Amino acid sequence: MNRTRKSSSTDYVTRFVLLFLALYALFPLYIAVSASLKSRADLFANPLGLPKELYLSNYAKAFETGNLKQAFFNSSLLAAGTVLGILLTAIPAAYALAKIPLKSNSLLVGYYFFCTTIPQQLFIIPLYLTFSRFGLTNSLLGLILIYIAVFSPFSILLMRSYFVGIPNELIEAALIDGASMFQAFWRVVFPVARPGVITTVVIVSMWSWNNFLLPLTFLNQEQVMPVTVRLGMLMGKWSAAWELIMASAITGALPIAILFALLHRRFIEGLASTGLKG
Amino acid sequence: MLPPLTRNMRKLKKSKKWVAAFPFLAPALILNIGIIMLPSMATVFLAFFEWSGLDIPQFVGIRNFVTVFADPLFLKSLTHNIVWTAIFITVPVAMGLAGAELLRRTRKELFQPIYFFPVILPVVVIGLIWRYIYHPTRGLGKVFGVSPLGQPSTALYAIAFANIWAWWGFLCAVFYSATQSISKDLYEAVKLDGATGWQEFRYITLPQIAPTLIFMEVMTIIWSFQVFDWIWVTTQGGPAGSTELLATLLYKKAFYAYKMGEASAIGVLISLFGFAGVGLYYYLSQKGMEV
Amino acid sequence: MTKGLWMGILVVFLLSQMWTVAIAQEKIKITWWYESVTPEYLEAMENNIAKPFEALNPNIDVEIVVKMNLLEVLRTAVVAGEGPDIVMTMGPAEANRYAKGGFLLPLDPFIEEAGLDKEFPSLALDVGKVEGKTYSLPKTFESMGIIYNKSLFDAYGWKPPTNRDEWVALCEAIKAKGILPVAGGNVAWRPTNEHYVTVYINHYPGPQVVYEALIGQRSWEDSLFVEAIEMFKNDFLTYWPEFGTYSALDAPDFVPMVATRKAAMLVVGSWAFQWLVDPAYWPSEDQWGWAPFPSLREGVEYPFVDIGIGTTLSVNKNSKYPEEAARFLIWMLSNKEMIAKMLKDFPGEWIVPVDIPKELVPPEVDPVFFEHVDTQNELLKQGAYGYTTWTFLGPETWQWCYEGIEEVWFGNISAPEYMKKWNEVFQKELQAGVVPPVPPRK
Repeated sequence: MNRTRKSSSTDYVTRFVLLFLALYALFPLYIAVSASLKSRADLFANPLGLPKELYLSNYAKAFETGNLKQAFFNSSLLAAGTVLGILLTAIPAAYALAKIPLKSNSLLVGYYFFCTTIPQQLFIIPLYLTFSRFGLTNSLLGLILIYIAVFSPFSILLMRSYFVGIPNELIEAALIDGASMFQAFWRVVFPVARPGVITTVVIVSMWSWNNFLLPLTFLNQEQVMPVTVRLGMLMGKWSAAWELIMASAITGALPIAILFALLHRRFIEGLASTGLKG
Repeated sequence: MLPPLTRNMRKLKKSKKWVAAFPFLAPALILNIGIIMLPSMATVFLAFFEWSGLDIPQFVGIRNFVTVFADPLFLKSLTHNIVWTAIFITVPVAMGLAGAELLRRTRKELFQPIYFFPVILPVVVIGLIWRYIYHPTRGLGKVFGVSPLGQPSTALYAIAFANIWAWWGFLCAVFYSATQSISKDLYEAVKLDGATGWQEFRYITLPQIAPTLIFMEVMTIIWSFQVFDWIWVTTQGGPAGSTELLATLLYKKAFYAYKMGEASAIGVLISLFGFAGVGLYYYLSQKGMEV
Repeated sequence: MTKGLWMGILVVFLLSQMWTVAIAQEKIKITWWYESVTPEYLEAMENNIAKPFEALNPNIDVEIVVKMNLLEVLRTAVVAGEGPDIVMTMGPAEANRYAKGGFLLPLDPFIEEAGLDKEFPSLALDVGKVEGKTYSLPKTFESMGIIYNKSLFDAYGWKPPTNRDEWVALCEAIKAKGILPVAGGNVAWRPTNEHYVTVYINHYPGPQVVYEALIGQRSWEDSLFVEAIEMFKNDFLTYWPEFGTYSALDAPDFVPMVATRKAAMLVVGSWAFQWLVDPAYWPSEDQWGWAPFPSLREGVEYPFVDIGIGTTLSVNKNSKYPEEAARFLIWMLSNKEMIAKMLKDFPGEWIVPVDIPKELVPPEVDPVFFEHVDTQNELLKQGAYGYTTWTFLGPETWQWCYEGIEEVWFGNISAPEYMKKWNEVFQKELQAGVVPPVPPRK
């Protein structure tokens, strides 16, 4: 009796803590969403409360006058291209590092680790000088190449630890059947590794959607600007109209939020199996 | 450290392994070296020159490093980075651990995506939301009469608080998923011995997820020295330099003060701090192996 | 392998979408990167500047592109041999750097051809000179002054101050009514601090003293400067918003404070007029007024204005069509009809230092703004002008000017210490030749 009572009281504490953490996570979002639904006067008079009346028109206005359509398209292309590039370069590399034993492997893992310590500001200017020679500034393709290079070290480290956990027998069976190393990877390992791949895809698309400094520097024309840079411009333009800023900010974050909502279960699964142990 | 060899692969000759590995490794490596390593090395090179960004660079040896270290603002920024690192290797990690452990125990997985949600939002967006929340005449300030971002004594902590909000959910997800691969039997065993919840955490969860924990701590150290976006969208290093960090100082040196050489020197130092973090990681994981 | 096929199709599709490298153009295209502005202002520039020029020159296209972080992005691009045809900078210090680096085209022949050297005050051309050649022209000639709520002033019978005693009496009277004398904030632009340093450093010692310091004949450690900073520190702590609020407020916050009588004045430059005409910034029926800043010491002249150059325009040396770009630039700085229209459509950011005949001025131009522009031009002609810190200091002195002053407010350093470092950095930059040239005073 005593024991159950005690555990139920700690249970309450546990639930309370969980709930409290959830409120902490949601409170700023509540502020943002409620601000985006208020009229300007309502927002000024009553910054933290619920809206008196729902001003959904803020969203329409933000989307229209903010010219977010093109920006959405650009961001989607950037994310898709980057994900594709990571799938084609970083994931095979992680596979080789995990499954083809070479002395140089630990050196390469160290190299990629080192790459994560390099701040973006360190290479931006020389890189810009180089890219402009090849006509890769102002081009989404150029930016995608940069994203792939910047995000690949973390992706490789993540996926390598995932591939390490896949039994060698699988690959061997394929190799004995006469498959090439690439076929073994593509037909056998890749499908098994799907949860890990999904995790990587979510992280990479999140990073490429959210990046600010790189597109700001490398894209100079409005028609190629992604959502984050566009939002930054709107901040200056609407600096007095917080309800519009909030509406456009929420709109800008929506696609990535939906992606996460669809994939979060698998994302956590994948995270579990990589274990992120480096 | 190398993964277990497959029997087939072990039999292959070294040269053959190279042939097999090359197409897998080359594309990523070539992109990475071309886009990150070579330009970074160019900047490291630049750290030994005086260059306004618009004139011809002049070789000055290690003078830029000497100037940087003699600059009180550099030392101030470095201190801020250290404070920042100290906050981030403890507070969000503790929150993440607590969240993960409680989730593991209660299996209330519903909370998981809620905690994680702030992580996925762009910094441009959440920086704005927090600027609004902290606003002295609109958000909290209007209600409570405070201005957390306006006071030099609180600004850094106010930004850290906001950044923790957007970050701890990631740690929680990582730790939680790490606990999922711990054998249930272990917990059953200690439960039979009458272990308390704390003991379960202390003697089972913590040691079992230690590798993940160490990895995340090291990544935290590395990232803490690179923080830029958060500061830039909220305070730009002010008020009174109270939120100046190495990365914002680098930016100002490069673009406001026309000192590309000094900026590069700071960039090199940021990398070195991160590199020290990696070294620490290897040291800790070696030590972990021995135990 | 259907998966592979799909992948292939996706790759082809993405590549075709991403390849946005411009296709060769038959028409001559002149590009001009502009800093972040609202679509309305951009439209005004397109209608008043780009389109009329294109109508006159049917083979030329003018493309105005809005760029965030123009300073950084422009520099990276121009150094790479790229960038727009028209190089716009935030002042002569930056423009002269570009010129010294050999990135700009000398404009003298075009200036002479158009007679702009007779039209512009010599000061405007002199600060953009490097080794005797002119590389940049001012687009925005601005000055510091006081913008106040005129309706509020009238209601209490207050007058704009002309000297120190009146200034103090006015601020005290405002405070006694429970109103904040001066509204301001620096969260979005930390260098805002320098606007106030500028007025105190000019209006206490007087512009002649500043001139002597700028050409290296007088030390910045001079007691007149130190006293100016001490006076500013006291005034700032008494009449401005409390620092915690000040450093979290932005123009959309502090301008409405004046409109709604929570505060009485702004100590601000010409750019503020673009805020006043926007109801989001000025949400009341009250009238606004403008006046030069008072003199702060016995014997210092009144009135005079602290002149600055907010924006300069130059031609990129790597431009494909330098000649056309230069002609476009000269055209837009000499076409008075267009400049007058811009006074209406983009108040405060288009103040070209030429005399504009009254009949060209559209009736919608805010009369207070026009009075400001007129007074500024008139005072400039008389030689009654001071020096803004953002136009006449080297970059490092400039940075210290607005960063160091916060340390003074906090009492971390004293006014003499602040001016001592100012002087050290300034002399170093003067030696290095990165201080913009200062034309002699009358």
